[in-house]
Amino acid sequence: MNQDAYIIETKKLSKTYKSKEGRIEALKNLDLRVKTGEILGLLGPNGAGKTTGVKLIMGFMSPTEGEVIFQDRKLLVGQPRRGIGYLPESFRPNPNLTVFEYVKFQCDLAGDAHKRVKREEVEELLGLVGMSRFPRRKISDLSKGMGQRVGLAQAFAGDPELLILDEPTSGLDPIGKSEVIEVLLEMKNRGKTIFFCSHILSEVERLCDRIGILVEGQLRFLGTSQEFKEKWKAADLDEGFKLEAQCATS
Amino acid sequence: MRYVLTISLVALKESLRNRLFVGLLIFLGLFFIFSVYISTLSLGTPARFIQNTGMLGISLVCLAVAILFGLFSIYQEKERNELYVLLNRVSRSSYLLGRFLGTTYILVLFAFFAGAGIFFLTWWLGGKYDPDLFWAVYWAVLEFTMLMGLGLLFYSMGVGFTLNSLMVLGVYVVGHSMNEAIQSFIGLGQFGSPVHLALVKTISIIFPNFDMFDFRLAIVHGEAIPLGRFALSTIYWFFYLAAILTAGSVIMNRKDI
Repeated sequence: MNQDAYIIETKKLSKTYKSKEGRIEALKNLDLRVKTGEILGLLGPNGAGKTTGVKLIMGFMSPTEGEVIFQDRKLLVGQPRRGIGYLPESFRPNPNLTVFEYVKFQCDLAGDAHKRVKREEVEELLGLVGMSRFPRRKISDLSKGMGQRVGLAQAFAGDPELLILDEPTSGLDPIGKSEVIEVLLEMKNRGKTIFFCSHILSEVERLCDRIGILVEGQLRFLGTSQEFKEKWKAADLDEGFKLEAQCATS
Repeated sequence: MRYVLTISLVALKESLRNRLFVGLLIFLGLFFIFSVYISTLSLGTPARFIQNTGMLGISLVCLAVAILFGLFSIYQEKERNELYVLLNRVSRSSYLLGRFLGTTYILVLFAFFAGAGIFFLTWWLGGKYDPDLFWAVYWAVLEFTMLMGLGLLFYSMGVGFTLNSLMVLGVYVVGHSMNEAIQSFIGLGQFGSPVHLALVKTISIIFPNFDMFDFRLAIVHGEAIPLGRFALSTIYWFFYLAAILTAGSVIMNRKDI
């Protein structure tokens, strides 16, 4: 695997909304490159444009300007992103299905249209997220943390090269967060590239090879967390992040 | 096509496990009891009473299926952010078609239950063996799949659930007055301007005409439906449905979600 190759790239990605208050620039010229095999965390306060950025990358929204390139192919708006596993923010799986049925359903959709999904493939995914003991449990009976694990399992369906996760630990208790982080580290060990959004600095520091700081729709920094701390001569990410946000708004 | 089928089968499974499924079955059962009770008030024509109220039952149940299973579930899917996960894997048209097909299965199931119920009650209590009643199931499926298609079209335009349901109900009511409205307007057109007449005719083509599937009276009275009308209504359904589903897909493809 070429570690210096970029698996996904955004070029001048911008989104402007029209509202009653006028034009709102949710994202401004986002130039981002995610290296194959790395974990890149996009950090930013609420309303910074992280989710807008992810939705643009995933093709759920049309950009006002710019483009997304995945594995050297330009991605079109509205087209499915095969090869990318995705977990949206505040995701809740279908409550009427069992854990096994839901993950199998996603494997069916993620896989080849002419190939049947084997039971073992689903079981492997459930094992990976620590849900192998509950395949027959109805999703409506799961705790939030377990639901998130099912969400991760569906994101891994079809063995995607790239995982895009929007706030994967939001709403989870500390144990739930820690479990999700363990799963993500395991995926990194398996050679997967992970791009995720978060506003929780501690998990970003623990997980990421590089971080991007997004404030008011603009990418203010891209590099390692060490470089970021050095930039602001800060003791930790939290302090640096506050200084960055202050600088952006002043 | 396999993805469409996969989504539709999961939609069916989801509907069968939904509490609303049992709720609607109970409603249907109560409606049958009501129709039997009404028939006891008739003077010697219980079969006709059972059939008339039973037809109303089919319509009410199918309308509930279209709104509760067809529309409510897709709005819930969006609220749970599950829509994004699905659209990451399949095209927006496959998603819409899959959801449409999934609700059609459940619609057929309910229409069949209702039709079979009327058939047996008419036979048992009214002493009339009338298998033609099952044609009512056919027409109800055509009518309400078209209505559901319209609901999906409104959904693709970004209309919220409550407004969508109201619009669907409105279209249903107006769509059942189309023949009458056309006749009145054509009458007006004879005395008014030709432009007005052309406009009314155009609107009547664009607007869904549910009277095309309204053969209830003919079925209850045992009248044969002319083959030409049968074919025309079926062809109308096919092309109208294809047009609204295609429009829904095109609109959804262009929309930010």
